[in-house]
Amino acid sequence: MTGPILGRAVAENIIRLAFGLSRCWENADYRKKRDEYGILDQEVDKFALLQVGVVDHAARKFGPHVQFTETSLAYLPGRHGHGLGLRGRPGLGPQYVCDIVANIQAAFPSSGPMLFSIRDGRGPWRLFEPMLRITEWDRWVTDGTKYRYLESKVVGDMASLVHRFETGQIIALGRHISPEFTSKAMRWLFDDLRDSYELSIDNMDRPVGSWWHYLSQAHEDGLELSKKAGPDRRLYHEARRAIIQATEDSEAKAAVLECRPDDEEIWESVKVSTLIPACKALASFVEVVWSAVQVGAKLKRIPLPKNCRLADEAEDTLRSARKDWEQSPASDGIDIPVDCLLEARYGECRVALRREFRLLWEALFPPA
Amino acid sequence: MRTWSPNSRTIEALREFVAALLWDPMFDYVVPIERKGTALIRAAIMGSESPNWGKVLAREAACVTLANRPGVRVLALDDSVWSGETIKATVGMLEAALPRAEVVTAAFMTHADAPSGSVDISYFQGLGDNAFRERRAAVVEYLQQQGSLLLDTEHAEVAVRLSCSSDEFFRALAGWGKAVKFSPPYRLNCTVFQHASELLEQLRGVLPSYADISDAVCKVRVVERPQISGGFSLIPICYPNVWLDRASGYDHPRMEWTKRVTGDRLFNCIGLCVAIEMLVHLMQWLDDCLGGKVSFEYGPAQLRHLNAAFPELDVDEVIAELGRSRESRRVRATHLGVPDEPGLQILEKYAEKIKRRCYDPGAYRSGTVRNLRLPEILAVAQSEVEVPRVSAALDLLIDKAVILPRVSKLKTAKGVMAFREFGPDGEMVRRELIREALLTGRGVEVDADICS
Amino acid sequence: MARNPRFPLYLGDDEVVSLQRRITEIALAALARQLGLLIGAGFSFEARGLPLGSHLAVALAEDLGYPEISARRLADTYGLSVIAEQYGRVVTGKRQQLVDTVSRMLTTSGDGSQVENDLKAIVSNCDISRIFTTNYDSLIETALGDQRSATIAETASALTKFEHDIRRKEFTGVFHIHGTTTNPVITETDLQKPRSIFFEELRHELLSRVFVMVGYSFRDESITDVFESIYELLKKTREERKTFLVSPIEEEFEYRFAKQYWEDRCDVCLIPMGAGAFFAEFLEQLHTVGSVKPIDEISVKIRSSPADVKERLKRLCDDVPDLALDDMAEIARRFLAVRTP
Repeated sequence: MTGPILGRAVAENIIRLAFGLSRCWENADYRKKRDEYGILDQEVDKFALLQVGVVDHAARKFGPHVQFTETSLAYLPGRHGHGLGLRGRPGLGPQYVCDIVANIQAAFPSSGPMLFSIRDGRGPWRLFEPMLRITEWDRWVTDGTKYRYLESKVVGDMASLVHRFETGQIIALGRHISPEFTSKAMRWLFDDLRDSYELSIDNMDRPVGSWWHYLSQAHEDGLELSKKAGPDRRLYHEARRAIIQATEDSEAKAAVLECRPDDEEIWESVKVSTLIPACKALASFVEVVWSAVQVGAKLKRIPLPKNCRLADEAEDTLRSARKDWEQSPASDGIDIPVDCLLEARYGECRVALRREFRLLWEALFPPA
Repeated sequence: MRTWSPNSRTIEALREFVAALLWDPMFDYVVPIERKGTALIRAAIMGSESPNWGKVLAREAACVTLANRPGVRVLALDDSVWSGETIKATVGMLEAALPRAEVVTAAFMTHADAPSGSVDISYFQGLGDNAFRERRAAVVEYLQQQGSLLLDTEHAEVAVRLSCSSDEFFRALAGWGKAVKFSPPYRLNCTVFQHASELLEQLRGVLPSYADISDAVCKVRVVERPQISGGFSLIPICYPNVWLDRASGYDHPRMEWTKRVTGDRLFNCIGLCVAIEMLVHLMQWLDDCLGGKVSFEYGPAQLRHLNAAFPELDVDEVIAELGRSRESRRVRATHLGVPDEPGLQILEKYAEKIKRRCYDPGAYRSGTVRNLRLPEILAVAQSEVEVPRVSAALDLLIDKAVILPRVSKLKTAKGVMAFREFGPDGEMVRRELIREALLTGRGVEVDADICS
Repeated sequence: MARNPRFPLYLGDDEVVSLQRRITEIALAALARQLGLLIGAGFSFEARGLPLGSHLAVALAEDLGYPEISARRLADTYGLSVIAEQYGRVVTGKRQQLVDTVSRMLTTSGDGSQVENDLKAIVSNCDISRIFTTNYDSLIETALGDQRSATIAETASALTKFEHDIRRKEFTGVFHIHGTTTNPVITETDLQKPRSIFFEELRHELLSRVFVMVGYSFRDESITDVFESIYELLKKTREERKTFLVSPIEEEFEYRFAKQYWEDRCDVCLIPMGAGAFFAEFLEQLHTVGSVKPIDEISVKIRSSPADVKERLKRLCDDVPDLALDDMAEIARRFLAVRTP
C-alpha cells in the first residue's frame, strides 16, 4: 500500500475530530464548564474515542454502501486509558491525536493555529481551543465524498448530545468502551504502577530527585485506578442516562447508546469487577507511600522537585490515605513503613517497601 | 532450471554474491542469519558441483564450537538489513562467545535506515522503501525457485521416488494424517498435519520427560522436487515445548550424538529427533501402503546440512535411525485417504487472518506487533476440519518470508520453557502489516480476541 | 528559515529552490532507469583526498626537480598532459616511471567515505549499469564493491561480456575513458591517439538519458577534452536532451559566467556543488520524491523553501515511524488547507 493514503486518512480523522469539538465549543454552556483557554487534552483524546465509536456504529446502520472516513488510528494503551493515536518511535510513548496535532502545528508556527490554539495548562497538561468556525464547517460538509453530508450530520448530532457534559463525563464516556477495554486498561495500569514503583524503590538510596518522578508516576497510576474503580462509573452512568433522556432522535444518539453499553455491563462484568479491589488496594498503598514521602521531606527540609503538592495538603492526604488503607481488606498483613518514610530514611525503607508491595501484589494476583 | 522473471537480474546478482562470499577463502566459517540467510547458503551449496557444508555453522552452534578457536574469521550473512537489530544481536552473540574471532558482516542489501557500520559487505546499499521492497521480492522468489524457505539446517529431509502415480502417493499420505495439497509458484506442496496427541504413543520412546508435546507443531511437509522425476521430499517438523531448566541433557535411545548437545540448543535437538521418529512412522506407513512403489533416499548428501546446526550430529547414526523404517516388522493395516485441495485463494484467506492476528495495538511495547504461538494460529480455524488448512496457510506464509518461525523462552512459575512461535519476518513486513491494519480500521476494532 | 548548507551562500533562495527542482528531475529520471553518469576527479578528491589533475601535474613537475612554486606555475600554464609528456621524455624508464608515479599517487586505502556510500546508494536504488569516468583511479569500483562492479577493458570482447552481464544481473560497468592507473591516457601523445571506443558508449548515453557530469571543475582539462569530442553532438541535439554539469564553484562571479557559458554553448545546466554535496542532496531527493507535490504546496502556503518544509516534516516523521514522509506531508497539507485564509 504505497502513496500517502495513510496520511490522507489520518488527516481526515483528526480534522473530523476538530470539527466535532468546534461544534461543542461554539456552545456557551460547554465553554462555561471548562477553562477559558480551551479543552483539556485528556478530554480531546477521549472525545476522539467516543466519536470513532459513534461514527463507526452509525456507518454500519446506514449500510455497506455508505462509506465514512475509515479510522486509521489505533487504540493505544496509556496512563489515562486507551487513546487514539499512532505508535511513537522506540523509547517514545504513543503519539496520541493531541500530540500529533500539537507537533504538526508547532512545526509550522507561522501559519497560525491550524485546528486548535494550544496552551500549556497550569500543570502537566495542555488546553486545546478549537479554531474551526462555521464557515469551515460548511465547506467541509460540502467537500469530500458524497457521504460527507451524512457523516457530518452524525458528527454534529453527537456534538449536540455531549456539549452539555462536564469534562469528567466525556472522559468517562470516551474511555470505557467494553469490559475488555476497561479491564485491559486496568491491567496496563497495574503493570505500569508496579514498574514505576519498583524503579523508584531501586533508586531510593540516591537523592530524592532521581526517584521522585517514578514514584509520582506510580501515584498517578494509582489515581487513575481509583477513578476507574469508582467515580468513572458514576460519571459514565450520568452521561449515558442524559443521552437516553435527550429529546433529539438521531443516528448519533442511537450510535452512542450502542457503542457505549450500560455501565452495569462494564463494571459488573467478571472481567472488571474482579479487578476493582486490586485497583483500590494499589491506589491506596501508593497514596500512603507517596504522601508519606512528601511529609517526611517537608519535616526534614529535603527539597522535592516542582509540581509536588504543597506540604499542608500532603499531611491531610497522608492522614486520609492511611485511614483508607487501614480500612481496606488488602491491608491485612501488609505493613507500610510510614514512620521510616516520615523520617526520610529512604535507603533504609527500601527493603520493607519492596517486600510489602510484593506481598500485596501476590495477594492481589496469586500466581496461576 | 532458471526461469526468467522481472526479478531475474536481481536473482542472478544474489546468486553470485552469496556464492562468492561462501567460497571466499578469507572466511573460515560462515554463519547464516535466520531463515533467509540459511536458505541462501543452502541454495548456494546445493547448487554447487561438490556440496560442502564444512564451513557453515548455525549461530548457536558457532558459539559453542568455535569458543576456543583464536583468530578464526567468521562471516555473518543475512539477506537484508533494515533496522539492524537482528544482525546486531548475532554479532553481539558471536563476539561474546568468541572474543578472539574476527566477525565480518555481509548482507545482500541494506535499507537507507540501516545503522551506519552495521554491514561490512553489501551488494545493494542505502535502498529506499520501494527499491528495498522490490529486491526483497526478488530474494523471496529466488528462494521459492530453489525449494522454498524450508531450506534451513534444522530439518531432516528425505527424498522420495515414486513408481506409482502421485495421486496414489497423496492418498496414502492422506491416510496417515490430514493432507492439504496446494501449488504455489514453482512446486507442488502438501502439508500433512497431525495432532501431536495422536502420535504420542509412537513418539514416547524419544520424548524426554521435560518435553511437552501437547501444543506442538506436528506435521510433515511434502515438497515436489521438479529436477527429479517422480520426486518429492519429506520434511518432518515437530517441536515439543521444552522445560529447559529441568533438562540435564538429552539421551536418545539410539543416537549417541544427542548426549553432546547442551543448553538452549536442546530444544532444536529434541525437535529434530522427535521429527525423525515421526518421519520413520510415516515412511513405514507409506511402505505398507504402497509397497515397492515408493523408495526413500537419505544418504549423507541429503543430511549433511544438519551438521551446520548440530556439529555433534553423527550422520551415520541419523541414517541408521531412518533406516529403522526398513526393519522387518508386521505390516500394519493402512488405508488411503482423500487429500484436501482447497486452492490457493482459500489458503490465502486463512493466511490473511493469521497475519492480522500479529497486529495488536495493545502490544505497544513490541511495536504493536506480536508473535503468535501455534494454538493462537490454529484458532483461526472455525472448525476442526479447517485446522489442517490453517496449518498449510502458515506454511504458505513461511514460504513467502512473511512469517518467520523462532524459538522463544518464557519464564513462568513452573520454570523456563522454550517453545516455537511465529512472527513477522523483518522490518518491512512489520511496517506493511501495521500500515494495512491501520488503513483497514483494525486499530480501533473492539474485539475480545484482539484485546486479550 | 533554515538554509540548505549544501548550496553555496551566494545563491538566492529562489535559485536554490530552482536547482533543487532540477535535482528532483534527475532523481525522477534515475528512478526511471534513465540516468547517465560521468564522474571526474572531484569525486575521488572529496572521498579520499586523491589528487586532482592539477595536483598530479604539480607533483610530476616537482619530481622533475622544480621547486614547488615553479612547479605550480608550470602546472597552471601548461597543464597535466604537457608536463606528463615532458616527464615521459626526461625521466629514464620513461613511460613506466610515469605510470608508476601516477599509480602510486592514486592508490587508496582505509575506510570508505560518505561520498562513496552515497554513490553506492544511488547506484543501488537506480540500477545504474554504466558509469563513465575520466579518472584513472578505481575508487568508483571500490565504492561499489568488486562484486557489484568492474572496470571494463577497452576491447570488443570486454564490451560484449559486459552487455551480457548487465542483461543477466544487476551490475555496473565502469568505463575509464582516459584509461586507468595501469595505462593512463595522460600525455599529449596519448591524447592525440584515436579516441577510446568508450566515447561511442558515452555519446549514446548522452543522447538517450538524462546525463550528469559530477566532480569537474570548470577548468578541468579532462572535461573540456570530453566536450571537444562531443561538442558537435551536444550542439545538434540541444533541445532533445537534458545534461547537467555538477561543479564546485566558490565565487559568485565565476558561477554567473560559467552558468551562461554552458547554457549558451550547449544547453548544459550548471549545478554549483561538489560531488559529495550533490550525491547527498540527490540521494535525499531519491528517497522523498513521492512527497514533492504536497511539500511544494506547503512551501507556497507558508512561504518557506521546500527544503525547509521537508526538514520540518522529517523531524515529525522521526517520532512517528508508521508515517512515511509523504504521509506526513499530506497531513500537514490538509491541516493547512482546512482553515479559510
